[in-house]
Order: sequence, then C-alpha cells, then structure tokens
Amino acid sequence: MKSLQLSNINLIVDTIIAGRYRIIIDEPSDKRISAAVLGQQISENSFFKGCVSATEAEVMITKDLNIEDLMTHLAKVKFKPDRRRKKYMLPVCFEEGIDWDDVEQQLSMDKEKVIKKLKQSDISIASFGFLPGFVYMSGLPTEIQCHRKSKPEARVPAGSFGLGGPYAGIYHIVSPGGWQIIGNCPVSLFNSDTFECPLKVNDRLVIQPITIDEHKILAAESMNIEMYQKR
Amino acid sequence: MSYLKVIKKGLYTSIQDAGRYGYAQYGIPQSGAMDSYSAKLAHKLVNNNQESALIECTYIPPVIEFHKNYIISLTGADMRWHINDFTVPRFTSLYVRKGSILKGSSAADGVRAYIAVQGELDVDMVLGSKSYYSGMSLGGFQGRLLEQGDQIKILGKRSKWSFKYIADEERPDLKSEKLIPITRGPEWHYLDQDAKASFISSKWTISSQSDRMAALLLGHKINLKIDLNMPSVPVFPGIIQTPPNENPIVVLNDGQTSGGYPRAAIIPANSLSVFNQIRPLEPFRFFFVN
Repeated sequence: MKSLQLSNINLIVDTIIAGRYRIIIDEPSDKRISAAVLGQQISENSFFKGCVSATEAEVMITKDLNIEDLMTHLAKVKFKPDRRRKKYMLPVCFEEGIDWDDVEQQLSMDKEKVIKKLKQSDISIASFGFLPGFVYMSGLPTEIQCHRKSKPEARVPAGSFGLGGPYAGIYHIVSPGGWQIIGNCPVSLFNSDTFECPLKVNDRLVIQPITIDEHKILAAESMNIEMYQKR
Repeated sequence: MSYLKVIKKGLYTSIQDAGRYGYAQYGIPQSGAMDSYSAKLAHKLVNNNQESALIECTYIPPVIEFHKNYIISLTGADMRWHINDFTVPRFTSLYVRKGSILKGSSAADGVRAYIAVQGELDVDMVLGSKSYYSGMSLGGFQGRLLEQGDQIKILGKRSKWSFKYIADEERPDLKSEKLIPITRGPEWHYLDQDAKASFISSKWTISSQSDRMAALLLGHKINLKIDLNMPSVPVFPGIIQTPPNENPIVVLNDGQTSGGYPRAAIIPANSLSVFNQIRPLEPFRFFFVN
C-alpha cells in the first residue's frame, strides 16, 4: 500500500492482483471530489487512456506495470478538482414513466411536485458504469429520494430515467432494472461509434420536462447531448 | 466465395476474440473467449494471430458446412467431433475439403469448445473487438448469436498444409477434479471466520443458472461480520462477490463492471480458463495463492 499527494488530496494506492490497482481518496475535505472525478481526470492522461474505471468510492487502474512505475505516472497526472463544470439541458418526458403510482405513494407527493423539485435540483453526473452507458446522477433532495424495487424489472426500455436511492439514472440500453422509472430521455448521451460520452463527472444537468410529441420528434432526430450544452 | 455455413446453431454459439478492452469505465465488459487458453491453442494450430476471432460453442455444438478447403482446429471441451461422419481429434490442425460437414454431440467433458479457421472471420469489429456481447447486441455475427443459415465469410489466403498438434501436457485437463487458485480480495476482512474457512473447506459447484456474465457458486452461504453498507466499487472477471448470507457470485467475461457487494476473493485471470470449463454440479475446490 502506498500513498501519494495529488493537488491537495491524499491518495492511497494498492495492488488488488497483478496488473490491477485501486486508488481511494484518504479523507476528502471537499465533498465534490469523489473517486469518479479523480478517475475521469486520470483517464484523460494519455498514459492511462482506456485503463481506468471508477465509481464514486474507488478508482481502478488496469495496466501491466509494477506499482513503482504506476506511482511515477500517477504523480504526473494533472489533477484539477475545480475544473469548470459544463452545463447541459436534459430533456425528459415524464409521461413515459411507468412507476409513478409507486413513487407518488412512497414520497407522499404528487407527480407535478416531484417534477418541479427535479427541475429545481442541482443535478450533476456522479459516475458512469455498472451497465453499458448507465449514468448515475447525484443532487436529488432527500424528499424525492425513493427505494429501489425489491424485485427488479426484467426489462426497462433504453433511455429510461429512474430514481434509485440517492441517485437519478439513465439506462442507455434495454436492460433489467431495479429503479423506479419515472420518465424517458430521447437524447443519446453516448457517441454510437466510439461510445465516448461528452459529459464528464461533475458536469451539471438541468432537467427539462418535454411532452410525448416532443419526445417523438427528438427521438426521431437521434439528437446528441452535445447539442444541449448551455453556454 | 469463401464461407462457412451454419446448418444447426447449437446451444449458445458465438463469435469471440481476445476481448474488448478500454470501455469498462462506461460499463462495457471485456467479453472474449471464456477459455482463452484453449482459444489461443486453436489459433496456434492454424497459424492465426492469437487475438483473432473464432467460434465458441457451449455444451451442444453447432453443425458447420465448409464451402471451400480450409485448415481448422478444434480445442476446449470434448464435443465428440465428426467430419463427414469420421471421428476427428481435438488439439491438432485439420484439413477439411469443400462440402465437408463438421458436427458433434453434447460435451463429454468441459463446457466450451472452440472452432478456429485459418484466416479471418469477416464480421464487424465493434469498439475494437469482434466478440459478441448479448447485453448490448454488440459484435459477433450481426450483433447476435449464430443462427441456422448464417454464412460467415473467411478472409485471407490459406497457407500450405502442415500437420500441427498440441502436446498432451499442454492440453487443458478437463477430466480431473479442478483445483482453482484464489487470492484474498479487497473486502476479504468483511467475512467472518467461518466464512473465511469455508472457501477452502467447502466442496463447491456452479449453479446451472450461470452464464457468460456470472457463475453462481453453491456450497456455502457466506456470512459477513459487519453490516453491509458499502458503496459501489469496480469489479472485473474473476472477482468473487459475496452478497450477505447468500451464495457467492463470480463475475465473468460479460459481467457488470461495478457492484456493491464485498469483493471477497479473486480467481487470477490465467485460471479463469479452467474455471470456465467446470460443468454445472461438477464439484471443485479452491486453494489460496499469494
């Protein structure tokens, strides 16, 4: 186990198994600095491109090298925790939600109020992963956080917008899903050829409710999230 | 034209290569041949690059018709292979004539068998790999498993025939009881004493519900000594997750890239080939390595 100071945060690095390393942040002072933010910035260093996966809790590096060489290269990463966050509009059609009854009951709040709270929340990208293209979003106020389903659905549609614990999330592909589905986003967050996402961890999202007709039009246009950046 | 034709699809027959790397960050698993050791041997026998694509058969093999003369090889599980009703050996190069038909029966040992053809299977490279991944209908033959009637084009010139074989001691031993090495995972200390001991003392089997994503281990339910309240962390093939008071789960090639269960132990990458040939309900044991 080794430690390293990057910018003003302390990292703990250790070997999980040959060629796999994990990095955790030792007592972060700033709550916005999660391992997902760190992972994103490490992956932008060309030496680590394609070798990084991260959740909010931990960064994993997959590379054939010894820990001393890893530490040398990690020390060269330019870590800027205060990088400017971009802001995007995220169109969501709440008429496409299938679990509204459950959600209204669980939160003792009607649909319109939940949508209003969502619109007003400071939502940001928390991390990616779990399933292909899944996006975790943080920033939900506690009064609209709800439980995951005790039995996951076998199949939720691509673009489903759901609530699960402290997070909101978007399912990029048709997949099994245990979150409460309250809407659908017609805009793809990923480039279909390279599977890269223009959104970065910590970027902000402003939820924009849309009608069923607008959803149809946007879905048919195969719009990309980059067109929704607010400047 | 140079192609293979699928006459019968088999149980779960897909095109796989060495895997799709670099997209775990966005939740895309590595996929690739489950018994990568046998896949490499298959390519070696036909002079292919080790990263090439081949056909992975699962338990019940497909029936394949060859529309040109080819050099092929058969490795992995014993599917009791026949070409035109003549028994053919595994782990050697084979010369098949145009019009020949390859068939077999359900695996006599192991689970997964490989068919390599000299040259290149002409299917799309998706995100750097030809491996089929069911979760996103990615790669493979048009984003799916092989189906009856599919014609897989073969690119590249055939080299001169030469007989090659893999020596007995280099072939995977699929018959004896398997001993699978494990190392302690990052959350090993979450397990209570009984759970720690059970990894070594138990006889384990793999549930028949297992697939390319994960293997469910039957043998001992694992108790945790602390309440489970852990955040989601990255995982990779070989990680053994232990949900509280449940059967352990081994994350495999098509598995998720993060999870919220303790990563109690890890099967090293070079031992996954052996692990992935264990049949459902076939007993095996773990032992610790450092």
